[in-house]
Amino acid sequence: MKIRVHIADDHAIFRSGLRAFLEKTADIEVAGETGNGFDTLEWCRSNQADVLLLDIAMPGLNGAAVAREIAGRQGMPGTLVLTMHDDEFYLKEFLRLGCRGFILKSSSPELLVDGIRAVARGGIYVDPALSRHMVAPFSEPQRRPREPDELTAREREVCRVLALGNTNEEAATLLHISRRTVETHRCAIMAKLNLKSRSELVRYALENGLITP
Amino acid sequence: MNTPSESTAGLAGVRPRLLAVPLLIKIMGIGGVVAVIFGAVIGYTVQETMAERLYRDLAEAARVGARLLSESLTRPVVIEDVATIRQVVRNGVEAIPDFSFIVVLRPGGDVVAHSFPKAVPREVLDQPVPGRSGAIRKLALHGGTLLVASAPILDGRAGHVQVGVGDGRVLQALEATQATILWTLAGCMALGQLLAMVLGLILTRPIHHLVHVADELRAGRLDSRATIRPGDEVGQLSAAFNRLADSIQDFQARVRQDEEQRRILLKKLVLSHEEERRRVALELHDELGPSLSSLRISAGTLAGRSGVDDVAAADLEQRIGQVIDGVRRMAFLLRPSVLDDYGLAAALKRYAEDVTRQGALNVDCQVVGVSPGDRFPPDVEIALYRIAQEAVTNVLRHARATTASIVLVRRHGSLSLVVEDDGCGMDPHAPEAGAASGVGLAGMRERAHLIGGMLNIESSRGSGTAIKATVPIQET
Repeated sequence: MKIRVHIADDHAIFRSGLRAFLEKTADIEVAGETGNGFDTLEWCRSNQADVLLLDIAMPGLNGAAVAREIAGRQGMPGTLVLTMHDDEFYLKEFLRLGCRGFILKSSSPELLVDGIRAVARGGIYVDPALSRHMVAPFSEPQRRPREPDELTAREREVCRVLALGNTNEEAATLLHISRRTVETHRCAIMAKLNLKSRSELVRYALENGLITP
Repeated sequence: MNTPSESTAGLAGVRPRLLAVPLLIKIMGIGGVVAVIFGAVIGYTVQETMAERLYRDLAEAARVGARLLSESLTRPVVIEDVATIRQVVRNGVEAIPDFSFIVVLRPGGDVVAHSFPKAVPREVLDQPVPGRSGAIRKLALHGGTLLVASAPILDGRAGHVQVGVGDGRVLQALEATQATILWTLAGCMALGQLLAMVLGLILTRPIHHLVHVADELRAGRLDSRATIRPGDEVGQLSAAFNRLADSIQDFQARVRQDEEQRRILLKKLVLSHEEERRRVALELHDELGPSLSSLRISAGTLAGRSGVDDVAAADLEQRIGQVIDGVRRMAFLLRPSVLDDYGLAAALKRYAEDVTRQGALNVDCQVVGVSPGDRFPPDVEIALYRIAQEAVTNVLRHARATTASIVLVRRHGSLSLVVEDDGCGMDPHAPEAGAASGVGLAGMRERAHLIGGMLNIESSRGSGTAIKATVPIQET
C-alpha cells in the first residue's frame, strides 16, 4: 500500500515538479494538490490522505490557519510543513500546532522522502538544518545556582540597574554615584562572576532573581 | 615717568566703574551736582552784590552824618561852647545806633570832644586827618571794622569832626541772607533729588521691563511682549524689540514647520523604503525561492535517467540548493519575515544567531520584560530592529570587538534596546566618529526620533561602546 500524499502549495510549478519527483518514488503516490488554504481544508475534509505537505505562505488562508484545523486531528493526514522559513520560531509554532514534520524547501528532495515516510509511520521528522533548535534546551551548559552573597549589596544593586538596560551614565545618575564608580563596580562584578558581556550580566540577573523576566 | 600713565590707568579704571552705576543713581547724581553748582554760584553772587551795596550805603551814611554834624557844630566850635559840643556829640551817638563814635578835633589835632567812655583810642588819633571831605577810611577797632568819615568845620579852619560807623548790622544782614540762601538751596536739592528719583524710576521701569521680557524670550516663552506705550525713545525701543520678538517667533514657527514637514517626508521615505524591502524580500522568499526549489527537485529527478550523468545531476542539485540559501539570506537581510510574524524579540534573537554563525563576532541577545508573544507597533519593531542591525554592523566594521550584546528591556512604559560591545570604543565627539560611523549614528538617531524615541551613545576610547535606543510604548 502506497503512502498517499497531498500537496498544498500556491506555486503550480513547484507542485508539478514535486509531483513528478514523488511519483518516481515507489512507495509514494500523490493523491491531490491544491493552491490555497481554503481548497486544502476542503480537500482534506472530503478525501483521505496519509501525509499533507503544507506550505506556510499561501494566499487566503495561510499554512498556520490550515495546520490549526487539520494537524493532530483524528482522521486527518499527518502534516509535514514544507517551507522556505528556516527560523526556529516557525518550527516551534508549527510543532506546537500539531504538525509532525518540518522540512526546508532548500533541503535535498531525498530528505523529503524520508520525512514523508516518517510522518506516515506516525513519527516526527525535523529538517537536520533546524534540528539543533530541538536539542538546544538540553545542550545548554547547566549553570550552578550561584551563592547569593557572591556580590556585595552595592554590587548587586549596580548589577540590577545595569541588567535593566541602563548605560553606565544612567546607572550613575540613578544610584547617585559617579560613572567611574559604576565602571569600577561593573568590572568587579564581571570578574567575580566570570561574565564576558552585558547580555551575560542580564542572564545572571534573571537567573538569580535580581530582576524579573 | 610713571605718574601720568598711572593716573590714566586710574582714570581708565574709574570710567567703567562710573558707567556701571545704576541709571537711577546717575540721574540723581547729575541732579545733585547741578543743584550744588547752581546754588553755590547764585549764593556767592548774591552775597557779594549785597555786601557791596550795604557797605556803600554804610559809607554814605557815615559821610552824610559827618557833614550834618560839622554844620551843626560850626557855631559851638567857633564860640568855644564846649558844653554844647559835648551835648551834640552825645545826642548824635545816642540818636543814631550806627554811629559808633564821634570825635571833634581842633585844627592842630587836639580833641575838643568825643563819644568814647574814657580816652580816645590811639588808633583813632593816629589816623591822619584826611585832606578833603567825603573820603572813607577803614579802621579796625575792638575786633570790628569801622568806616570812618570826616568832615571839616568851617573848611577846616575850626577843626574836623570824625564819625565812625560800625558794620555789625551789615554783617548780621549778610549772615541772615546766607542762612536763607543755604536753606533754600537745601530745600531745592531735596526737591531736585525727589524729582530726579521719580524721573529715574519713570525712565528705568520700562528698561527693567524690557530686560525681563528679553529673559522670558530667551527662556523660550516666545509669545511674551513688552507692554510699553509707544511715544518716546524707550517706547520706540520696545516697539523695535517687539518687532524683533515677532520675527524670532515667525522664524521659529517656520523652522518648526519645516522640521515637521521634513520629518513627515522622512517618515514617508523610511516607510516606503521599508515597504519596498518587505515586498522584495517577500518576492524572493515566496516566489523566487519556491521556483528554485522546484528546479532543484526537477534536477533531482534527472538522476537515474538514461543518458544523464548522475554526478553532474547531483552537483547541479547541490548548486541550486546553494542558490536557494543565498536567496533566503538576501531576503532575511532585506526584511526578516520573523520580524513581521513573531515580533522584535524573536527577530533580534534570530539576528544574533545569524551574525554569530558567520563567526566574526559573538552576538548574544537577552530580553527582559518581553514575553514570546508580545508585539509592539510595527514602526517601533522595525525601527529598533534596524537600529540593532546598524549598531552590530558598526561593531563588525569598526570596533575590533569579539562579543556584542543585544539587550531588549520593556519597563515602565518604555522599550529600550541596548547594543554593547567589548571593542576599542570611540570618542562620540571626535571628528572621525562622524566620518566613518557618523552617517550610521545619524541614521539610527533619526530612526529613533521618527518613532518618538531617543538614542544615547556611551563610549570612550579603550572601553566598549553602548548604543541605547529608548522608545515610549503604551502598556497593554
